Amino acid sequence: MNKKGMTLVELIISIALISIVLIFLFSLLSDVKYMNTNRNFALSNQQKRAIILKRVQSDFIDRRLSGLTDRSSSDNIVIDFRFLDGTTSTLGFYKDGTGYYINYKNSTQEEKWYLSVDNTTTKIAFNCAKYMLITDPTISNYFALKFTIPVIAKSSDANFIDDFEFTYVGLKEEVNLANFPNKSSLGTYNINTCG
Amino acid sequence: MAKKGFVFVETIIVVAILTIALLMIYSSYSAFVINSNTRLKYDDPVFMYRTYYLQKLLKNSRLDLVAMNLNLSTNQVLENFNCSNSGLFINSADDIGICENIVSEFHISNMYLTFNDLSFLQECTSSTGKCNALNLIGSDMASYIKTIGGKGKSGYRLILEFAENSDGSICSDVNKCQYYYANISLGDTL
Repeated sequence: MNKKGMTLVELIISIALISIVLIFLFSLLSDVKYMNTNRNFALSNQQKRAIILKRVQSDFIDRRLSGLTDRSSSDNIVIDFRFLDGTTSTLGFYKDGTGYYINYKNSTQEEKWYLSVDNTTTKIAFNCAKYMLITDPTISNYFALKFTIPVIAKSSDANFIDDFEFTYVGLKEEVNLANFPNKSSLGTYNINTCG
Repeated sequence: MAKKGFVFVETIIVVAILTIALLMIYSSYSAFVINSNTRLKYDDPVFMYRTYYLQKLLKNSRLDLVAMNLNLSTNQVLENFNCSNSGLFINSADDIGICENIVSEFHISNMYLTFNDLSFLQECTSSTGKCNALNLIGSDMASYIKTIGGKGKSGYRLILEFAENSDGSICSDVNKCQYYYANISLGDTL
């Protein structure tokens, strides 16, 4: 066997084999890089989301929800919640020069959280909210409410776990349907346009 | 014999070793990525609050009747129940209707009542005896159970499995469902 070096064919085969291995390697690195970027934003937002959910749901549970008022515009979602103890709180989803932020104000404190976004962010649907009266308080002892504000931080990786969803199950004597905007019966209702 | 560089056979060997090494790295990273994405589906706050409210509703019902079937010594350690379980709601069809509405709108696919301490399931290496319960649930649910704490605590636990499409709507095609899990401790008395 000639040991002076590789022939051109051997060289091409070697390069081809190494290339195949490298393709897998780059694919792997690409996945990991994407995951790392995505996870940084996701983690940051999920921590904020968890805090906001806890703030709002704590008020729902401690003060007991009795109604809500929609003060949303075409650009923002602004909801006033009314509680049995007579207090109110306001949840707002806004956009300013710095970015998208969420504001929650109750009788004791007001806080603002900016959401982390990256250059792939295509849609944060702060102009859409829908709520659903799950059970009919006119026939049952309970009523349930599910209030959803979709947040799609990446169109290519739409993850509804980013959504803000507030749920509530209360006693029927605690609620008056008139306290819910434009609603007189069971069903799903949009606040602004949910595209 | 004067070798001035790699010969073809040596190159093939190097590539083969490199490939094996990279395959090992790829498989471990893939598992890491999958586990990482799966963990996002455990105990998300939205599902935790859904679980809390269902628990609040069920606390007024006869969960003790469902719990009667639970028995560590007879290997019945996990009870899959639903709103129409006999005796769960005492009074009226209305309560069953409320429960079913909430289960539907909260996208709950399975409700399990079990013990607070799940270490007997978490330590399973086979599917016999008490571990037979793992045969009754999906692999995703089994993985979730392994993440639940509460070792040494008495009482009961409610575990919910939620099935949704990627857009958050209720899932009708089981092959496309994404499953989410949350649990809540019910304490000693039901």
